[in-house]
Amino acid sequence: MPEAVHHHHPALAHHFDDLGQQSEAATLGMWVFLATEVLFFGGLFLCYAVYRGWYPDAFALGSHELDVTLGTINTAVLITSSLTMALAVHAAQLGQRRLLIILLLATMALGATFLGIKSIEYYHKFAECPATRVYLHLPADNEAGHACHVPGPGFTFEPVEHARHAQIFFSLYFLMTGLHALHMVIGLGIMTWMLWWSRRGTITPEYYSPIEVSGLYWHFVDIVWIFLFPLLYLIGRHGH
Amino acid sequence: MGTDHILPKRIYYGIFAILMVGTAITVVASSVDLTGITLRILTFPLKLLPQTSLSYRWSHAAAIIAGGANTIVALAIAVLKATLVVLFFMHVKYSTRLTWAVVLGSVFWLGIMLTLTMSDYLTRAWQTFG
Repeated sequence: MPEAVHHHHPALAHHFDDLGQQSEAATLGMWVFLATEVLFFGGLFLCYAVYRGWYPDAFALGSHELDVTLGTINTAVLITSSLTMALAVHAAQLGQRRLLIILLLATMALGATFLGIKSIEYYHKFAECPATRVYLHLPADNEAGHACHVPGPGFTFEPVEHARHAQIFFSLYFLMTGLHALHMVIGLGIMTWMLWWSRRGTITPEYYSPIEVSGLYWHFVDIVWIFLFPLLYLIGRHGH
Repeated sequence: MGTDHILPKRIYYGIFAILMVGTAITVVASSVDLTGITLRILTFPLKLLPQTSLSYRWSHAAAIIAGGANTIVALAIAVLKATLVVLFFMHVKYSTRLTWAVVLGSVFWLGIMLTLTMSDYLTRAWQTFG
């Protein structure tokens, strides 16, 4: 007598009762990871809070040396990418595979735009600085009077009495936006993976947890920027 | 899956619109000095009440709060935006209680880290404020 054939969804792992339980476990697991990420970035925000509390004037002056227009555009780009990501999950839930692929591509394009604008900002800072121009293969001689806002031995800042503390601001600026950008790069990698799974048909209305969970990561990175933008670009603009 | 909540698309568009407007308000508000108006609002009750030693302390505290009014407004908008992203884009509003516990737990622990550390650093110069 043949054994009863046990039919189940190919995506269902054997240690789960059903796909509902499996997707709840995936969401919960992702949130536990994001909780560690909250504290990871939280340590840097705490560092920022302590130093800004000590040196509010230097932080405000340092903030004025960042490009508010590019920062604002990037905030809008990232929020739009969160919309396309949310709509991608929606398309996955409804089994609209073509739309899902288009929305994942749109999310990736917006993420790449963000990184492009961010690298323009970094490029300006490194190209301005006499000490770091060499890394960009630019002629070492620079018109006099250009400040170097890249933390390190070549760092300069006007007014000079705030230079040491402004360097702390720029260290935090490069560290926090750099770590955020690294998360964006990882996010683009995850989206490439999801694009592949969507194309080959792994993602279905019964099994879209991978898209949902990738979306949680993408939105988290957006939230980090929602705090970074006002804290780095917009401080002390009203008084000067 | 039985636990699915497929939200209508208009919710996503609505949240997106609020996030964009919030960003615009943040940028505009950062270039306006909110210190004066905040100070006037906070010290308004003092004009109606008789002068006591408490009013002196109140006006001192009001001056400190008003000095950080721009930062407070910027962070309040950021917290609102983040909450909307978490509840709707990240579907936490429709998630299990266990997920809620992890989300609130992460915010709570972040709060412990920020509050306990800043309660030290912010009170080191306490005698300054008498």
